[in-house]
Amino acid sequence: MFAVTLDLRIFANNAEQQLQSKGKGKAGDMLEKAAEQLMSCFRINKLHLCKPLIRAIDSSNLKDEYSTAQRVTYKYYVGRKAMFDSDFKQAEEYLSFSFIHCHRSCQRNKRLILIYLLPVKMLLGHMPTHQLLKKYDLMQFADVTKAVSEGNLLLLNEALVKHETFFIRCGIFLILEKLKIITYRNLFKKVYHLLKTHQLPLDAFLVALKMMKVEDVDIDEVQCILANLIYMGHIKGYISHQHQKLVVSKQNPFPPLSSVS
Amino acid sequence: MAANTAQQTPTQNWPYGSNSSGEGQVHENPEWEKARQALASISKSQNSTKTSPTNRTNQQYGGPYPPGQYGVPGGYQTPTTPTGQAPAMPMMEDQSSNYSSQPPPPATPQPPPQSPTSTDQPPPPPPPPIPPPPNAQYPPPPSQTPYSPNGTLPYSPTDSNPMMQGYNSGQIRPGYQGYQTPSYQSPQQQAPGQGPYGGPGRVDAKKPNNNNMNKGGQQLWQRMKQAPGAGAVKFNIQKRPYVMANQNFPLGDQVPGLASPNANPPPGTVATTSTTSTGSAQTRPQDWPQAMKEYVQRCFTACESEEDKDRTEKVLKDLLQSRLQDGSAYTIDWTREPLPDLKPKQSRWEAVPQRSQENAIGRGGATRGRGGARLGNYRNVFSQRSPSSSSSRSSRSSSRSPSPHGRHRDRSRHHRSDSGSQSDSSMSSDPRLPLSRRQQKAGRGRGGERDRDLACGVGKKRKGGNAGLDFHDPNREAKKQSRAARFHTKLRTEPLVLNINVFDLPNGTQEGLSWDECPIVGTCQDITKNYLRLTCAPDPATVRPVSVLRKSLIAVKSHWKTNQDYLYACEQMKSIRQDLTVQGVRTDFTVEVYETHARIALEKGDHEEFNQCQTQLKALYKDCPSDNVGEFTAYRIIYYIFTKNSGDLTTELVYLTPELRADPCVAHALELRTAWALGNFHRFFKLYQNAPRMAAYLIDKFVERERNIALRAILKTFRPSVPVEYVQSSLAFPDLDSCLAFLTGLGVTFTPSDPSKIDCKISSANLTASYKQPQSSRPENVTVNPEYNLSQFPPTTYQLIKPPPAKFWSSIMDFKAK
Repeated sequence: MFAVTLDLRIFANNAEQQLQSKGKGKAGDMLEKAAEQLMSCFRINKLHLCKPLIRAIDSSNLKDEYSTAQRVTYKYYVGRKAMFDSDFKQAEEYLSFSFIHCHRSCQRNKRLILIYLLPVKMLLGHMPTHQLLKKYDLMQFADVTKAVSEGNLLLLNEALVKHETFFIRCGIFLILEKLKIITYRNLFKKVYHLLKTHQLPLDAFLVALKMMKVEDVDIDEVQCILANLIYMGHIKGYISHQHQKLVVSKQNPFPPLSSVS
Repeated sequence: MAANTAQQTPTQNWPYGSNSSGEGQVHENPEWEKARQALASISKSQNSTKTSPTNRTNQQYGGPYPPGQYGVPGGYQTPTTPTGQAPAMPMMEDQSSNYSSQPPPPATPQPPPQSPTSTDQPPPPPPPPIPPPPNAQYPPPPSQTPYSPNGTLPYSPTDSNPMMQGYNSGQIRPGYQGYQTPSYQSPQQQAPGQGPYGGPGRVDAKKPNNNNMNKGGQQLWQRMKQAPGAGAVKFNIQKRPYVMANQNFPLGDQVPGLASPNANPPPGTVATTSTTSTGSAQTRPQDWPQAMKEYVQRCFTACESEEDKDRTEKVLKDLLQSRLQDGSAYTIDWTREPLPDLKPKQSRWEAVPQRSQENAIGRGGATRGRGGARLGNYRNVFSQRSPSSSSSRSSRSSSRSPSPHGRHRDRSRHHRSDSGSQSDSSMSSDPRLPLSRRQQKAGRGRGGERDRDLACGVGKKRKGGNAGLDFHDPNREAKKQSRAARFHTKLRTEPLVLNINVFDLPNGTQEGLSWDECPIVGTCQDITKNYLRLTCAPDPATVRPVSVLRKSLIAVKSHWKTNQDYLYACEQMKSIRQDLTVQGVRTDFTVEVYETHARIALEKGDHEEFNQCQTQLKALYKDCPSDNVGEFTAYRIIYYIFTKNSGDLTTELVYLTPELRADPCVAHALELRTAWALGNFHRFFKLYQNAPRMAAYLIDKFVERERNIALRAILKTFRPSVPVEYVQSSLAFPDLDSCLAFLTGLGVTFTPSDPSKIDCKISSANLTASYKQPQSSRPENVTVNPEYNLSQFPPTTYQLIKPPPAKFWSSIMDFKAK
């Protein structure tokens, strides 16, 4: 804590100098320092300390003068922070920038970026290819990816349990958990395609969930899950409580994930 | 006497006077200084011929101070006399007189130097006879032998003279002799101490060849054998600066008068011894055979406790001294040397018992006293390690050496001008140096040096007294006590920080700050006590011991059960917590107190206290795992949900062990978290209804928030309408009325035809419109009442779970009773 405070102070001094001199080299230093401090913020798990740093950088008008390497580093941390703040759109933006601009020889760094970029992308509906996972040795995500795209809730649960340690250590377990919602959507989409009707009995979803070995569900929970999906915009439609049926829109009842939220 | 008092006074004053005066000057151990001064004065008077500097110093002293001042040295000697404090005073007088007179005789006595001449043989005849008892215990002769060779050449005459004089004087006065013996010893010790200062001195001791060594050797020798007077020669130089510093302190003199008598005698001895040990340790080690050093290392590593180390130190010093003297140290196969047997030797050295006494006194007297004792130990430790090397020289000093060490360092600053060079060099070579420096720095920085000095002084004095001679001084105990009391009161006024510093030193570890090191044992017997935030050091008289606190906790619990008076309970719990903290109690009982308070606070929704308790519990569980670890871990998880702190939540998950995950409370909290993260309100509220123990109270804090979110989802999802019953059951409303109150508060519209159904479309629009409405305006008080909620839900498997508060508390108490 003390170290961070000290760092912040150093950073503030630096920033001040930067603003005064507006020198190119110094500006670079500033961003580098900021990135270092962000890193230490992450290390000690005090994400709230990142805010002033990010604000200071954002408010500086030297953005374009930083070197690519510095920007990659900085955006990596800012993107991570955005992800933890559940600001997935921004996280994707920053992390994508980092990943794209990261030097190709820095495979390790690219992998680190991917660890956070993948969950974000998946949440936004972009599933990674098998080759990508293989290239960066991130096969822990393979099952997850497969399960989500198939709506295979069972597989997803297994994959999460299997690699729980890894995910938790990376701090992305809670993010990946949100993929369950996507998985529900995909699962229910399959139900919809099977039944080929706009009026879907809730029992059908219940059966589907039971097939996925979600044992302790009842019709109320199905309604709850559906309500969430509808509420978040993953399903267009409504539930008729009276008839215990889900009525979905005739046009595009399951809008693509990338267009949602 | 006057001189003695004056010297002593400065030292004693230190603690007090130090505040006003520069700390740096004050910091050094007064006793040390006194001792040195005394020696210096003696030596000067005697040696004046030899060392002009010494003479100067003496003169300086003498100048400012009347003849009596010279007595200062005498005062110093008195301290050297280990045991008799009271006697010390008389001695002081005698010595002072002696000193004054001594200056003239210096040239005469060469005999002592002779003893040095007998290089290998420790036996300087004079010393043994004078202090018969001490001699046996202390091996001054050995020390002499090493030095003697050197000393004989150049110094012998001068040194011997002073020595002789000092000696003679002591002999002349019968009563005095007994004391002198101690003083005598002290000189020996000092000699080693000098060694550190005068690098050469050490070398000499080991290697007689160098002239410089001669000096050192002589000094050492003198000190060793003849005690105070002889040692003085070397010291003079060193002391001068010292003396000067003391003089600066004069302020202390006023006080000193009082303190001097009690404190001086023992401290002086200690100081001297310590110096010697340190000095020897520092200077000599270089010359010693590596195998021997390693042997010493082994000895100390074999020690389990500080006491052991102290004993070992003493034993080693004797052993090494003799070995070095007869030269066998360089021929022996140290790797095969058996480790010293501590037990028998311990008995020999009475220092151990004394220490215990010190400790006891310190405790009784005040934290201060304690600190002093500890410091002493601490220093001992220090000295032990490096000293081990030096042990050969200062075999006796072992017991004392520790304290002197401390002083040494403290003073080293002051002394550095004269003696500083020695001490510094020695220190640099010493592994412990860093520590010592740290201590010094810390002391200075915090202004705690005075305290330390005091403490050291106490420790040293006592130790010195013990080590030297245990005999007589009937008043000794009384004096000690009065002295301790004095320190107590005076120290009290100082900031607590200082105490902490002092305590730290003993351990030698920086973490020593922990309260464990300075336990205060309360004496207050009141069952109840109002909480008052401490603004100064705690007074044991107002602190309750654990036995009383146990009763207090029971009383508070029962009072809480019957009266539900949170303000009262909170205050009582806080005062219990405070007493526990102050006394450094970190046991299962502490855990129980914090758990109890956390539960009470939780029940009443007192965030602040609950969080404080949780923080403490998290740390406490590491030391004292309790059956309720799972319960409070679960609370923490739920609290993170409440604060939506996904970062901490992730961290918490990382540290969850499988065993902890299996805990019903934690498992519930994890499920709740999952449901919450996925927006699965149905499951969330189901878990809410089945929350174990007091988790429901915590969930109550954000249940409204979740209901609000869930309701939006419901209203957006269902068409054309949804029955209120469904909402009520889904969102875990205890009854229809509360649900209706909640709904109407949000501006939900019911269908005109059937008031039991909600018109989702219109309500959703309303809700969206009023989305930003402050939640406080919602009149959903009913559900906020935790008791109400809890009473609605039948307790689950846990008996402790959510019964009405009174039952809960009774059950908790039963639970604990088991």
